[in-house]
This record gives sequence, structure tokens and C-alpha cells, in this order.
Amino acid sequence: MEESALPTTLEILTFRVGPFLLGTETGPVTRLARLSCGVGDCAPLVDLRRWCGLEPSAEESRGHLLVVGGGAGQVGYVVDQVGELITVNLAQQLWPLPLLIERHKRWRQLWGVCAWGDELVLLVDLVPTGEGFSAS
Amino acid sequence: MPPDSTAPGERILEQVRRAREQRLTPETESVHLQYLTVRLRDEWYALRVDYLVEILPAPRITRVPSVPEHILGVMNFRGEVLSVIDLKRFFALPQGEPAPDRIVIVVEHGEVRTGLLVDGVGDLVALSPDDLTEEPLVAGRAQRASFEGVARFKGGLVSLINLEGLLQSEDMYATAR
Repeated sequence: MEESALPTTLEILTFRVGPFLLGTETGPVTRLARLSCGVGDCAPLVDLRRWCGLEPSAEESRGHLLVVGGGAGQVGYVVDQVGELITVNLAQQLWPLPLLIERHKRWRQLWGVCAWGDELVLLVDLVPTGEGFSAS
Repeated sequence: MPPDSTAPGERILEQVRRAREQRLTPETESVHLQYLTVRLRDEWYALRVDYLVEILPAPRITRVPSVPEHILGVMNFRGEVLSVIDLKRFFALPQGEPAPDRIVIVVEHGEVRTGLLVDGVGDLVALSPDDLTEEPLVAGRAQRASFEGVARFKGGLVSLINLEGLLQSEDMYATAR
């Protein structure tokens, strides 16, 4: 039987929350929208500014919504800015979090780092698990 | 002596290499230990050179949410992602104006590499137990585990950082952002 080849790249959608450059796997992202479009009517909303320890955005209408689906339904994540879709090489551009951060992060959804040009993108798993979006 | 702006660590790392070679020769062995002095604001501290990997002009540091305030973020070091610790914040020193030519010292402990952000580096110095003084540490309880002691050096005092204690200190993780 022929074995299927393991993927060597990962598609990442980048976004910004305050000073933080974050990214998430594109697969589970079902919709991108302006915050003011009423998507909150159909999915619970999580303000990632709060999870990043920042004040909520003064102007809600300036935020963007990233809707992510999974086995536990859909969740809309409020971010400041949606960035680019990037493809990263798993062997060369992606690393686990450094031990110091891995051991003591309060945000368990944070799982890795990838290089993008001369920047580093922090990777978060936004797929709803049904356990809520919580700190470690 | 201030570091060369284009290669802040080259001269010192060469001295470290020589010092390590000398230590391999039994007849030159002494009770002196080699330290690198580093500056945080106007105060001098010293780190054992055994842990030293590289000295760099502060590179781009990517901030990380939900970590203690003194963990400044992550940096790319030769294709390896390292955490960067702001020593001034960890020692609860006033931040003041950021030094224009801040330095990151890459250290290795227990196969884990970490970047330490400092305001400047000084020289390599050889210190023996006789150089230690009874002067009390200025640091509070939170940082005491991070020091080996205080030594007299060039008419002043230098606090000797215990890197192992610093990286394993509970206080490293205590202050959440």
C-alpha cells in the first residue's frame, strides 16, 4: 500500500493584536469579516486584545473578525488587523516555543513560532475545543 | 572599555576562547574564575563566562503575549528561536531611557540557550573567592537566588549573577503581564 507523503508546509494566516504579530493555521478559518458586520449574531466572540493583556479597542468598528470552526462549533476572534496568508516550510521556518516561554505562558493556545521574512510570527491554535478559550 | 559598535562581542569572545584553552592546561589552573562584566543603567554586574555563547547588538525582538513582563520576547539566533530576558526588569531596576546600543548576551545553560538584554558589556575579569565582600546585595528577596555575591572590582562593587539561580528562580515566572 502506498503511504501518503506527510505535508512539508503549513498555510498560516497572520494577524495583529496590539503590538503582537500572531498567526493561525488557515484550514479551520471559515470566515474573515469586519467586526461591524454582525457575525457575532451567529458565533460567540472572543476579544484577543483581552487575551493579550491589552485594553479593548476604543473603536469596535475598527476591529476585524476571524471566524474559526471545529468540532465544538464556531468562534469569532476579534483582532486588530488581518495580515497575509503565508506558507511556511515545516523543517526550516517553524519552531516550538522556547522552553522558558512554553513552561510559563498563561495562554495555552500559544504553541510555536515561525519565521516570515525577518519577523517572527507567534502561532496560536484557535480551533474551538468546547473547553473555552482559557489560560494554562 | 566600550565595545566595538560593529562587533560588540568579537574581542571578548576571543578572550573567552583563550581563557578556556588556558583552563585546559593544568599548570595554569587557579582559583580565579572568569567573568564578563555587563552594565545595567549605571551599575555593573558580572556573569560567568562558562555560560557565554555570543554577544550581539540587540536584534529585532518579537514580543510575546501572556508571559511575565521581564521576558521581553523571542529572537532568531542563527535559525534558532530563543527567549530574551530583560535583566533590568527582572532585577526591578528603573528602565530609564533605552540605551541606543543595547546588547544581547546569548547564554547556554542545561542545553537551553537564552538571550539576556543588557545596556552594555565591559571586560573579562578574573575573580577569586578572596574578591568577594560581605557587602549586602541591594536586590530584594525576589532576586537573591540570582546572585553569587558581590565582589570588589576597580574600586567599586560588582554583583555576580548566578545564571543557574536566575533561570530557575520562581521569580522568573512570578510577575505575569
